[in-house]
Amino acid sequence: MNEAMIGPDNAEALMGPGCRRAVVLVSGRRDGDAALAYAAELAAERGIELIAVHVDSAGGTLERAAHYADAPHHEYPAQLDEFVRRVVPGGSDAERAAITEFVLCHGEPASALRSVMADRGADLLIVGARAAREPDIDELLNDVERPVLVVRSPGREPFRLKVGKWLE
Amino acid sequence: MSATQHPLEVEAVIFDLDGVLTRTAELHAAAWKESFDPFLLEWSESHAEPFRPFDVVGDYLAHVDGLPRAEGVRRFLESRGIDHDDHGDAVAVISDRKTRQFRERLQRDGVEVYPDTVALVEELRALGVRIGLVTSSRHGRDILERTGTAPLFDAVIDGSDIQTAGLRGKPAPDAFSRCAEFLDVAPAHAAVFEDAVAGVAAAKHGSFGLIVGVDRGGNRAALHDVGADMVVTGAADLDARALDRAFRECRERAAWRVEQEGLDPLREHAMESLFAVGNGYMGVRGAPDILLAGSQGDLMVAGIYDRKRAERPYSEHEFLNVGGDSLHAELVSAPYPFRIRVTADGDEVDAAHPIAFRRTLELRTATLHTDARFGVGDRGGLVLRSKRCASADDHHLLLQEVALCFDNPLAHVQVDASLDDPDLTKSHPHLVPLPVDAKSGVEVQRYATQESGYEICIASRTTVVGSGEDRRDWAFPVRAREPVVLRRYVVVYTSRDGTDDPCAAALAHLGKLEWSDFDAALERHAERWERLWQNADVRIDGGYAAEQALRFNSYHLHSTAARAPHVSIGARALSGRAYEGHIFWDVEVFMLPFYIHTDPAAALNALRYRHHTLDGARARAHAGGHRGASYAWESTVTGEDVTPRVIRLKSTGREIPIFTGAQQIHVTADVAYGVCRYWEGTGDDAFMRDAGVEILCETARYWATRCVDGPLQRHIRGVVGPDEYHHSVDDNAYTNWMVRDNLEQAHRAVAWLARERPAAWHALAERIALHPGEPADWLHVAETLYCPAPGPDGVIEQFAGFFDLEDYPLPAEERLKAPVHRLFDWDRINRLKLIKQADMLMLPFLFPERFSDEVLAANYHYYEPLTDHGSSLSPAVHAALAARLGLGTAARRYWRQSLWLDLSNVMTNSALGVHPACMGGTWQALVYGFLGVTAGDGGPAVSAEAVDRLPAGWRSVRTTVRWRGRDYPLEVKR
Repeated sequence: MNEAMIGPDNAEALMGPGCRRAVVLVSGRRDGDAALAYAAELAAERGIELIAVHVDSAGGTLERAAHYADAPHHEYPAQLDEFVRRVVPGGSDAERAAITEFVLCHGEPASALRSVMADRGADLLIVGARAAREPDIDELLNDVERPVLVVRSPGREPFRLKVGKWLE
Repeated sequence: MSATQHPLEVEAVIFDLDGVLTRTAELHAAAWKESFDPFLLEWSESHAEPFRPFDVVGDYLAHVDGLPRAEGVRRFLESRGIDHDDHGDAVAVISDRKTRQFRERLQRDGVEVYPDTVALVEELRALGVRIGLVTSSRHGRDILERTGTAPLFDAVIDGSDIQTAGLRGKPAPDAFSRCAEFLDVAPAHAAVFEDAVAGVAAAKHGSFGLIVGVDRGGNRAALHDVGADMVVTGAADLDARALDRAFRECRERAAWRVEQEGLDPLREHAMESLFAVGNGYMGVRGAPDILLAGSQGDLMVAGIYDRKRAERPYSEHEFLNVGGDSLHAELVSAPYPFRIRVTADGDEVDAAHPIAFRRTLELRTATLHTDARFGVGDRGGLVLRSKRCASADDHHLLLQEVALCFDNPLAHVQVDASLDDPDLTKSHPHLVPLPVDAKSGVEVQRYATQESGYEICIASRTTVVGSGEDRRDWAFPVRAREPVVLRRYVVVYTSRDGTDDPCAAALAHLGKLEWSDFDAALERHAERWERLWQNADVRIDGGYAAEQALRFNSYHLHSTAARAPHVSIGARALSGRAYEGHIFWDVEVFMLPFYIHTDPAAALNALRYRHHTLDGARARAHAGGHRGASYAWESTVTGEDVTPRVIRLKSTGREIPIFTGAQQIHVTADVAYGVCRYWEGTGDDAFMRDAGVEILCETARYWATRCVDGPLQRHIRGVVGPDEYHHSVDDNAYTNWMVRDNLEQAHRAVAWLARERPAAWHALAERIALHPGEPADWLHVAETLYCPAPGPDGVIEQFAGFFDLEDYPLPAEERLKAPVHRLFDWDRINRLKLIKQADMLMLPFLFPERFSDEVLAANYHYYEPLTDHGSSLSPAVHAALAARLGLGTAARRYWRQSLWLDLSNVMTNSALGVHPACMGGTWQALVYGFLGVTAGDGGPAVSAEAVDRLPAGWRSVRTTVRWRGRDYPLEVKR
């Protein structure tokens, strides 16, 4: 895996001129949010089709879509929707339109990503920094024959909800 | 009494040094003056400005008091408009000079302590309270030694410690937090004494239980403004008992509010749900007054639905719900009614990047407060303070007040109070704008829903206090630090409100509102809530956090309580779009008992909704080839079932069937259960005469034809029980028991009506063509209906064949975190001993008197380990049953999971709306589980065992329960 910072000035060189379709791993975690936010911005800017992938991994470490699912047919569509809405809330129409597909997969994250990338002919894989450290994803990043963009998690905003332990 | 067994609630007190313990403030002020004045003189000469020396009172208190030295230098120079970066090492030079000056004065003049502070410290120590000291002064320890007070302190953090440990100085909370750690006390259990604004702010940021501001002169208002809970002139104003009293009162007040500090865009949607305001008629998510780009400040009116639209831009790429297509499939969201835009000299205020942001839900008065500070380009700052509510006194009315206060004078401030949503098509796709003709000063937004044809009218008036006029757009100059106060009335009407012209109704309503009545309108709203709290409040001595969470839950339950007979309560109330506002069994089984015993009028409306939708339920039964009425699993306006039949994954084309709509028929018996429970709890015979008996008759009729004959008994086949992981099962214990109860209660109710209200009985029998022999047939069906009994081991089989299913060793990580693959693996799960939520265990939860402790224990111990709690409804049920069984650890664990479901920061789905059924279940678990409340001839009473069930640390629990028109105070005390 080649690691480099991608920005507007060197994106062309790193990703190649033919990059048309990217897969971004959306975990629901903060690093996944950062990956999606950056991916949407990049995709809008460069006219790339973006495929968001959430992998439910039984026994895995990726965060699950929801802790409770009172009615899965209500819960999961809305939860996946929220994964995107909270990350690109103020995104331009172009950013929102860049996300052309949202795929929910079941199984091991690496094989699911590999499968979606192959099926969709993706040119680029974008993942968050924490996901990239997970063993199977790390292995994928090292052997996938496409550019990989690992997005660093932003610092946490100062935030407190004064309940529970704040009063106990 | 030993030192560690003190009788006070406050466990530790942390004191500031300068100005609180010692009279060093004067020394510091003088040292600052001698350090600054030479620089100021030189600066004034080089800039041809008049020399303004350092003021030992005004400048000291406002700019340097309490701050680390270098920060104090920077702040003071900035206050004089001096850019310290232009003056080389000025900050370092002045800081060093100040240190020298202070040291010399200390040597020369000595230092005095405030004897009243020392006396208070000694008194607190004698009572076992731990004492700490935090000061930005690098000489802190030296001063303590010189004054002989060092032995009084269990922990000391001074300026040197702050620097060595790399802690941030005041107003950051680091030093106080570290001191609390050294004292081994949670900040919430400690008090802080501070005389500096920066110090009070630091304690506030650290969430200390009580912050006492010490005003030695001229600083009272500033200390209050930054968060002091009380301000004294010196420690002599308080002794230990008075301090402890203030500490308790402060924590009690804290338990009456939910406060958020800081703004995290990623959590903003969740906060909008938690901070929603509502009055049952409508709800508004708690978005900021100045919206962020991604805010979902939806206004939702109960009962306004439209055909589901596929505009979800993301999930609809993957999920497609098939079936359940209805004109009334989705709760409609309308534009945000509290929107303002503020522009200062041409720059629009950017709400996404506040300097400070605090949002506070005052639960007692059901008002949402925001306190924010924004930067306004290079023109200083803007402080925005607002409050809002959905009036509990006038259900069509929203009230909002916004105070804007700028640091500096500005020539041209614009406030746009328009409710026009520029993203209407994208954000609210159900709405089509309609033309309006409003008079000047009144804004009207009028919409029609796309297909269901409802009309919604939102009319508003906004004024600036003192202006004497109503406008939508405001432009004015502002003076520095003089607040401009905007007030807004918003009135909402729809075509479901019994009017042909919602617009005319809204305008007429709005026209009657006077600005002089604004404060009184807020007071009437608060008074309504005060009356609600008289019954809804639960006081827990020793459990502030639980008290706060229970109040938060009660707040949301009352905010969404049905206020009209044609509406009920959606799965996520009026706080979010999830579940499309559909109404489930949640209302009758989980929420209704709360309303019956705290606000019976709301319970009545929820049941009248079921009567209102009885024709839809009749049509549904008829369509299935049955008689009577069969309620929809997911219901909205007409009683038609709006549950999708299939969910299709577009990426793979895979379809996952949804069985609940067709098979989760226990909802019909659940409605009947709700009717009977309401009747029992209220004695409302009029409701039974007019509606309740009819519901019972029609549901009983349905069951009489839904049950099928077997060789010996009748059976109910092909159902889904509360455990939704198993479909097409026969003789689900919960369903059959509930059906039997439904049939028996219908027979009993008919007998009552015939005996007590014969005319009404004859009218009903004629209206629904009830054959005289039908009630006896129902009883016969009930008597012959197979209801699985406890086996030799006491366990009741959840449904026929459950015991033969494949064992599933439930991994610990899947408990309370049901993974999404449950959705994919629906067919496999159907063959496993894996339960989504309490199913058989619902029966002892709803009918505790019918199950012995032995049978309950056998079933709890059998089913609980098989349950992954994939539903938010499950923990409360398990908490109640575990409490009854004396399984204290499990009971408390489950109850806490349920209690903090929405407030907890580990949950991930509150962004979609709060969980009112979980909230109702939590209340039931406390009242019926922990307190073991039962009602006899003398009214409700707590169990004799309740005292042993209380969580550790709780000294007492008090609440009031309404029972048949009377209020019964209940108390359990250790």
